[in-house]
Amino acid sequence: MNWLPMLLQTSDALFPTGAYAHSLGFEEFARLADVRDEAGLRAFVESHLLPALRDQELPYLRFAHECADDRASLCEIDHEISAWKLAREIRDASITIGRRRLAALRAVNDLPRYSEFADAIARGEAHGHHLTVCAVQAAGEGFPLEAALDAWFYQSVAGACGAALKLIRIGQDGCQRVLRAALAHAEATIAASLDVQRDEAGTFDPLLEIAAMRHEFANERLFIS
Amino acid sequence: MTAASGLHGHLDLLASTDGEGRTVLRRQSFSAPFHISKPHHEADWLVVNLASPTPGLLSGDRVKVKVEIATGARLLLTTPSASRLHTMSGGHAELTQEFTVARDGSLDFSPEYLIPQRGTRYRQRTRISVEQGGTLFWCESIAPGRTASGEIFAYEELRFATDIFVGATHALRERFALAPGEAALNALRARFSTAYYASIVCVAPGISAPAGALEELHDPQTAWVGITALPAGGLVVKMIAADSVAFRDRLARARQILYEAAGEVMPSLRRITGGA
Repeated sequence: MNWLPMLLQTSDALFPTGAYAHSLGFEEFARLADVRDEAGLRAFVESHLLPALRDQELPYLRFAHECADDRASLCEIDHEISAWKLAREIRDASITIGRRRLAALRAVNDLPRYSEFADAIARGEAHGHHLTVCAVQAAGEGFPLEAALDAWFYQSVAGACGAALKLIRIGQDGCQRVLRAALAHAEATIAASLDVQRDEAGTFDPLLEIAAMRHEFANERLFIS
Repeated sequence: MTAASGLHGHLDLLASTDGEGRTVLRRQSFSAPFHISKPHHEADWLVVNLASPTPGLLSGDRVKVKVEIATGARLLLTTPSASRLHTMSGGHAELTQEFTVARDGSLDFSPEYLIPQRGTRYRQRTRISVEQGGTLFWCESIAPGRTASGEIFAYEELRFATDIFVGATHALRERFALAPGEAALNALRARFSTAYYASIVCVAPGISAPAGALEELHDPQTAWVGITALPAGGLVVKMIAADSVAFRDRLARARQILYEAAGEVMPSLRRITGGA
């Protein structure tokens, strides 16, 4: 469990990835779909976030983790992530947060693995998506795969709840209830994600996708994405 | 009908130019359930209607489509009516599509929408490669079922796998399985009980997102429409509409807007049922 303190440190909102500035589509979705309160946020998490985590994001974190020692394969996955993150803001956000995470990791524990991946990004071999960087980190810090998947699950849901605090009428307690309810699904969601094969990994959520696309051209926006 | 009795059909087309620069089908081969109409020219495009006597796919059908567009050729491939995925009591139908577009070649693939009937199971795999300097208009659309008879989201499972490459860049990758009862599909149905879905990809040299024009298509109650840029510089439009009337209207207008953004004159699809 020597890895646990580092996992906690780098999964915390205090760790400077800049993720707090992104809603990843939720801002525009809340506007379009009239998400206004705790019940709406809970429905959003259960109907949109959890399926995407199960069928796409967690599998891709696993795929990247499995080839963390094979840079060519890792870069291929990183490019594949660009191809399925259709909304430009979401794609750019993923790269921005990933690169900032990598820089922050290098600031506190500059492993050769980190500098090598940063060099690959500089050479244009990879974009540096957040999922890919988290996989590199998990391999570098010795996080067990399941712990890395848990951390991604938590950060994803907590990120939406954090954005919701600024966007809808919900308090800290309401957010914590939504987070707690979602975390009750973590074990099953992660277990199901382990069965997803790479050729099948993906999700269908045109409502959130359209909302994320429309955010780019919205006249009023609080978040970058 | 069982898997053993399904059709193993194919469509194989190569579009290139003749000595006068007009697009011709240099190679054409097809077998049931495919049949193609006599091609005609319109707005510098060769228009080919892809018909099916079924019309649509049955359990056990395994069909392959291969379409190549050579340099300078311009092919519009469409269908005269919706393609049905017929009711299946077992097994599944499968469509594998491969399209390649050479530099200065153009492909418009705009079939009518798929209508998945009760109990259908369908798998579709599409791979499109567009060389730098090539042009692509690609539309995929799915109805919720036979809405006129109240058969809505009654299919068993639809699986789609789509990859689009522009030059060496993997520009779009989609994998999804639609099955009634899944959370994301339930969320869609909660907002649009008879949701029609479309995805339109447009790759053209120098094109930029006509976001302002597309904004006129969006209406929170009847049609959600979004547009974004792909990694390699193309565009993708996603659309959900509440009914077929709103859907056909938005789809035709989106097509027109994308053609204008690409600096192209849009050929007519000449459908009796509507559309551009």
